[in-house]
Amino acid sequence: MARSSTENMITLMSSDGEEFMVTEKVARECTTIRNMLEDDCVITNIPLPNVTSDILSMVIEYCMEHVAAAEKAAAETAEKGSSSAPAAAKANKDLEEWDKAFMNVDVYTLCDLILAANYLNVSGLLDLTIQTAANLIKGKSPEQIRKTFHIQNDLSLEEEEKIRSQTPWAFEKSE
Amino acid sequence: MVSWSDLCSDALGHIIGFLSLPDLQLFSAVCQNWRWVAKQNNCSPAEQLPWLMMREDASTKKRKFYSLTEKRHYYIDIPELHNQCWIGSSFGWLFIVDRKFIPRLFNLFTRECYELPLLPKFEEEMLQKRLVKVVLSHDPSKKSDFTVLFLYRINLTKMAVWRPGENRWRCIPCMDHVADAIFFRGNFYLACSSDLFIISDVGSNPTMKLVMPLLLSGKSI
Repeated sequence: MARSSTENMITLMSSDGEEFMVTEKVARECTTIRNMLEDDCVITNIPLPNVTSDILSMVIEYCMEHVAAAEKAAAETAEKGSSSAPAAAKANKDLEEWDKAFMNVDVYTLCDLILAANYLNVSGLLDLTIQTAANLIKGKSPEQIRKTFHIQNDLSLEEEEKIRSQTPWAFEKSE
Repeated sequence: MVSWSDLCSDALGHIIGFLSLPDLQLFSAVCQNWRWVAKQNNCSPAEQLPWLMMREDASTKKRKFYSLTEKRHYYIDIPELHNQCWIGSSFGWLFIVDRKFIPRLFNLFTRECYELPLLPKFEEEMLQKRLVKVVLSHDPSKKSDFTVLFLYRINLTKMAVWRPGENRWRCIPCMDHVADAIFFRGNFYLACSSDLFIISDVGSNPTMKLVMPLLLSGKSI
């Protein structure tokens, strides 16, 4: 078991042709890839036409960090017989801090990461990026949201007026 | 490159799952695509603490709500609730009566409304404080075959049930005082002064069946 999950290397190829060698364990963090590997266990080269190299390298960085954290926690549990609660809490906090720093990206990168996490089905990364996007929306007026995400307002004045009149209470705070 | 305005509905739907109800309203006013996604039925905002519904403002008739999460009030004009008093809510539906005690079920979010038959005749004067509680078996938006259980107080608390298609409330004979009622896994449960009952056969002939004597009461049956 150890051989297949830690030694096997998989090559992931980005849309712009760059190749990334990762361990099978890291690749398996992506449910989409895990399913491919389960369907065909001899596969070693996976083209990912929807993900550019800069985004793919970030996804891999995220998966490697989370695999390493899980392995460290498992090793500590095995060593001490049981996991110590304060150590586990600290490890969790460290990982949270890492996630937070990892999310220090511009909104374009965030958008690409959401799409990649959705396509590759990396649930932890999807939750993290979606939560980050939601935090950028919270408490903002529609105009502030458009500015944050560089969105063109394609609603007509009549439509905007109609939306406002349906739920005027929601607009009270922001204006 | 995909921009935020045309992000797929899958991803936008996920984002909505992290937003509060007020943020969702603002989200839906950003652009056509976001609006379209927000209007889909399969998108619902994050689970959040319920809002408290308070009395209506005497001059504006706006209803006051309190958001526990945001620690602030919202004043919302809901014409259907003008001059109405409400007795409890289930699944987002309010049981309301007007000044003539004509009862309705009203959904605050979808604005759907069920007109209910006149309340069972009270032997004594009709007073707001006599209306105790209303419990629904299912969400009327999702299941048209639901049951409304209504508790009202004369000397003891009495009960009546109504189902869609019926033109009157059916009273359930009860010799005991009903302290509270809930619907759980297909049955209405009644906590009476000394025992726990379920209501069986709500369809045709609702009757109370003893489930167990309440242990704390120390009384035997």
